[in-house]
Amino acid sequence: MRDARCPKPPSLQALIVAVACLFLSCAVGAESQVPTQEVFKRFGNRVVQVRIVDRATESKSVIGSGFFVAPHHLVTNYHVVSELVHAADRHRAEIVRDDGSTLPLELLNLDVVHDLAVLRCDAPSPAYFTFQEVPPPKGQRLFSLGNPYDLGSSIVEGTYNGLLEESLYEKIHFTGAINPGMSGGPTINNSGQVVGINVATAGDELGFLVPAKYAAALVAKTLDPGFQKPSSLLDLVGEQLRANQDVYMNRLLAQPFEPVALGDYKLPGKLASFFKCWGKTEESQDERPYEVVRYDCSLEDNIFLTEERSSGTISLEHLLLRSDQLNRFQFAALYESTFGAVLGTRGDDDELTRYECESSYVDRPGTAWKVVLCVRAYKKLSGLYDAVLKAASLNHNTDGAQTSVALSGVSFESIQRFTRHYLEGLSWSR
Amino acid sequence: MVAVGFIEVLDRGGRVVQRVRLESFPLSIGRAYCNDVILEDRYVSPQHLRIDRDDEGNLIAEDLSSLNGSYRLPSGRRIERVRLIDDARLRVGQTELRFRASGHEVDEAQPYAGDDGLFKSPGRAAIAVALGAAYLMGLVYLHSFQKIALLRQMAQLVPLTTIILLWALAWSVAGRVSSQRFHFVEHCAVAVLAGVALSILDQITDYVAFAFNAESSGRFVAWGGSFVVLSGLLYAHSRLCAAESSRRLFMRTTGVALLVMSLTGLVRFAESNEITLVPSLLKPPGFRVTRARSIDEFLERSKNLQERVDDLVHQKSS
Repeated sequence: MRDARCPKPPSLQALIVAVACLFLSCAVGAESQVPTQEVFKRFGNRVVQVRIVDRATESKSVIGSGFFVAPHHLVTNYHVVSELVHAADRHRAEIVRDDGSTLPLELLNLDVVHDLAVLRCDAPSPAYFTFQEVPPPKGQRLFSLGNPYDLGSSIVEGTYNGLLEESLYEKIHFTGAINPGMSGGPTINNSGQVVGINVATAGDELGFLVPAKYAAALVAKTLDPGFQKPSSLLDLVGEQLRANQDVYMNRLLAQPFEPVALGDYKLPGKLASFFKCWGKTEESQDERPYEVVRYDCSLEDNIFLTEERSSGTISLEHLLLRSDQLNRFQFAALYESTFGAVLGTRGDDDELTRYECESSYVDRPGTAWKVVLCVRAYKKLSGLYDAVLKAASLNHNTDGAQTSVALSGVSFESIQRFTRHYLEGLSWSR
Repeated sequence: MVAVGFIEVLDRGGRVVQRVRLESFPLSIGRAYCNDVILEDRYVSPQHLRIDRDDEGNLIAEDLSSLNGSYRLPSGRRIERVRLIDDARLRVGQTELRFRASGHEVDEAQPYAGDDGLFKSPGRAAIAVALGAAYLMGLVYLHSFQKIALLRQMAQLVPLTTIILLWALAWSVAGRVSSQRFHFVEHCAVAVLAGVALSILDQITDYVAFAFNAESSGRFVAWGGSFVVLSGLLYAHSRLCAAESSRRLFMRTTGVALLVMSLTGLVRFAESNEITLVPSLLKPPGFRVTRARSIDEFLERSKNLQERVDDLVHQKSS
């Protein structure tokens, strides 16, 4: 059994802290206008545990939380129910009630970009939630509901801290202990309106919520009388990803990448505000007669696809190598070893083909670069590809800059546009 | 009396171990000591075969009702009486006999290139080994970019050295068994030179591939070159071992090399359908010959990637 996704793996210590927080928040809640126990008593029954069961072994493969938004409809995270999309024949979903009885669920609709899913349950729920789509004022007290660590339904009190800045996909910053298993549960205000959907935690009381407006839109679409369940949910995932990455590629490629200088080389730096970058210099030493300058950036915001794979991640790494001690052949050996393949060269049988590569010498201001572009295709999500673009400058015998950037789950057209934009950001001048 | 020919006793390798001039008739062959030709073979009868002339002067071999009989080669047919013509072969017991008429034609003499032809002396072979080792160490030096590593990188040569020594020893022993020639140093030299040749070939392919941005075609060149080196290696070792005629030896070793290379070629071909070749060669910039292209040209070239990976998707699903 595994719990639904969580950026940091839960530890026993975290569990103890979480439990301690529960007690604490109850104690504090008792003094506020609306006692926490009151909120739980009034709205707790609208939240259920959602369980994905492996048909072959009849064992739980994922647990998460969900909440009713209509008599027969409930919302949870896409990442809780992703197995129903990627391995539909091997899994089924069910609600687990507090008394241990279960009800079957059917996955109707999803929003892979915002990590949301709508499911249907034949047995009606007597009560259900509505959404508060307008963001609350910063500092408002909120209550997060769910089933942390399969321990039974819980309530956690916390505060609304606005939308995350520098994030590609809007998320609410919630200060409160969201724990694995609470994924897909609602975070509500004291009148019981859903403000956000629990999606992730960075530990230390730092939680993330999907803003309610996305869930409201998905629910509205699903409840529309004209709605028909898509014949292939996998195709729907592919469609949503392609549509989304058009939007974000446009955002990314709207202006030239902000450059970063490594020695006399200029390379694309922080590609956009939502990238995180680090730089590091390793001086030459006795044992290592060359100097290395490293610069890495990555986009931490990505879209959950399956347990193993995510879409929309971009990471880049630059290397500046120079040496006044090595001769040109020794330097070339070093330069070649750092440029060597780090990408997996065999395809993943089920999901991805192997990479195919094309290389060329490309002229940029001040120097030619050896450029290699490798691409692989998603087997089940047609029209989506992963790409690795590498380049190494070729103007000096004992110094040079190399860069490698990886894109995942994008269209081939985006790869080409990105490649152009990226290569345009390479130059050398003294 | 002028000899009409010779009866030759051959060992299993086809070499002559005994040659008897046919001068007086009849000539008797058998295990008993009263024979003209005495064979040490427990399957040969004491009086086994007789060779005589008939009225017209033809040579006739006649089985003397031996226990195991006499057989004509290469057909293996049992004979009682047979006329011997030049180069006729017979089997008695486990022994092969051959008749050669005195007019039998022999090949022209082979030019003699000194002892063993290849190195002429163990001293020269040792020099070849030393030069080869120096080359390999130089190569390691030019590829090492860590200071302490020089000694450690030399240590990388230990497994290779061990393999070469064992390989040379195996060939030396083979030579000793087949022709009493134990040429360890020479075999070492052959192996080292083959290693050097392969490495030079490898370097040249890499540099040419870098110069012209042609890493995938480089593999075929490397394959062809390896075939030549392997043929040379096998030929040189066999030549050191055997006293066979060079041309036949050459054909044989080339055949073996071709077989080995075809098999490895097949494996590589199968692999090339499974594994990505990621172009990653980098040499000093001065070795680049192909001109650098514009971004547009590169994007145009890489357009086919989509089709290539999409084909892989369809391959797997069909």
